[in-house]
Amino acid sequence: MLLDFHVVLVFLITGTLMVCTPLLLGALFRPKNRYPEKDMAYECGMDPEGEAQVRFDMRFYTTALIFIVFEAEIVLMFPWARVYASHPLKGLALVAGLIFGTIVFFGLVFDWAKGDLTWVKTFHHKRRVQG
Amino acid sequence: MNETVFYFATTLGKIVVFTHLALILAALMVLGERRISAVMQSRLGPNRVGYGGLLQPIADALKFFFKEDVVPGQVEKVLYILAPAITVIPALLTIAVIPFGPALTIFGTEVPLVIADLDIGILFVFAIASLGVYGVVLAGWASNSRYPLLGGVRSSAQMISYELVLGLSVIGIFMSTGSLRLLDVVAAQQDGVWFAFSQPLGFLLFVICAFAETNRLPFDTPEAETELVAGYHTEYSSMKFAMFFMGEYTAMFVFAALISTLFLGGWDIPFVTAEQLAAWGNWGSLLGFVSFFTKCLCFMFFYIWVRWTIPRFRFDQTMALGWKVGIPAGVANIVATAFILLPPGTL
Repeated sequence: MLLDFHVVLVFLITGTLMVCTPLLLGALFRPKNRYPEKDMAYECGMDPEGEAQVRFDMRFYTTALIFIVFEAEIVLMFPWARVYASHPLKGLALVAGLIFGTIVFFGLVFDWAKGDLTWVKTFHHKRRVQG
Repeated sequence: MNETVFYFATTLGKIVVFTHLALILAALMVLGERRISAVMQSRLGPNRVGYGGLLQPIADALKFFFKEDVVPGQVEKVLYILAPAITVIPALLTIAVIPFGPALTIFGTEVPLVIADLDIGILFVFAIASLGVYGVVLAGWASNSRYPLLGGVRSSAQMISYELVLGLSVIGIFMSTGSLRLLDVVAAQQDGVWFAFSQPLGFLLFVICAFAETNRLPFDTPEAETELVAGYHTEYSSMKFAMFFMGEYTAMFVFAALISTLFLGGWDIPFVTAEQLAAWGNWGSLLGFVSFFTKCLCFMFFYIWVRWTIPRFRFDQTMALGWKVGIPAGVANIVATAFILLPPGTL
């Protein structure tokens, strides 16, 4: 079993080599011709102004946060699914799964009701949330 | 002693053969996509290099190799260089657990056609494949330019949203097989029905996720050419750009292979039982291998077909489909499967 993970390690090294070789080898043959215009950020011919790494939308952060919670919960479903197949008391396993699933689902419903899953919040929606 | 040498020789051989197979297939996929797109739009596509344009991928690779590698002045060097590598390597690594065919017999020893036969196969795929998001985020951020940042952030939000649905959609399978090993999943389908038929909802969700995770149309908002130039790889050129391309197409192949393995019976041939296939020895293995690749190629054609059939979704539509339809449907699929698997008379 552990030997199989060694194989993965060997594979990782092989893969890294396969990626790095063309990148490094090509550097010997490539032309190098830098000038100021080429050094600029690409903005369709306009001169870029100000910082590019600006603050981005809050909604992306919320999405990532909800993702972490749900991903952890879904990973916990895998052992349950594996055991469920051969469990002698399937009814009991089902009830246990349903309790867990209900909690997860309520989390989703809660986020939904709070409006965190709605990407475009209309004015009407905002007013309703604020009460 | 001899056994160890044999083991390492076969393993190394498998690594070399399968990775090259995947890369060659990815290269042919680029050509196939251009040619099939051309047919669908009544034009010719690249047909000059080699017979029918067959050598076009090699010409493209050589061109990428000899082009100047423009690194704009504003980028954050280390992350900028790392990002393409982080995109390709996870895509390649996931090939490790995919079974390509029935075991071959070489010098009287059985050699399974899978690089690493892990017990937690599918979890390994998810764990490694999700690392690909880092490549996209880092590329977007390290470019220090407006369009890449927007593309990178959008892309990561989409990929993580659909990862949840991806996880949910396959749980139904493991509830019936009781094993996370991909070889066991294939074996279960050889004796029974394909999971595409017994898990239709899971199959549909998985296919949708395959499109969303690889940023293919109709979910290609991250690189929507009309609004974001090229998304996260706008500032990349030469071999680094080729790396993103390679990563993307390898990921497409991996998803095609996963769908064949999980839902379309792996190397299973309809109306041929596992014993019959085994009775043919190594020829049976070869036949299984061909069957597996036929399924992959069919799915890869499906990618292109969908691309020219369904227009791009708006970003809010993409997110709504993932969170408000995908996740409830995935949970419903698990609950339904649980009830179906209950032995009669339990309730």
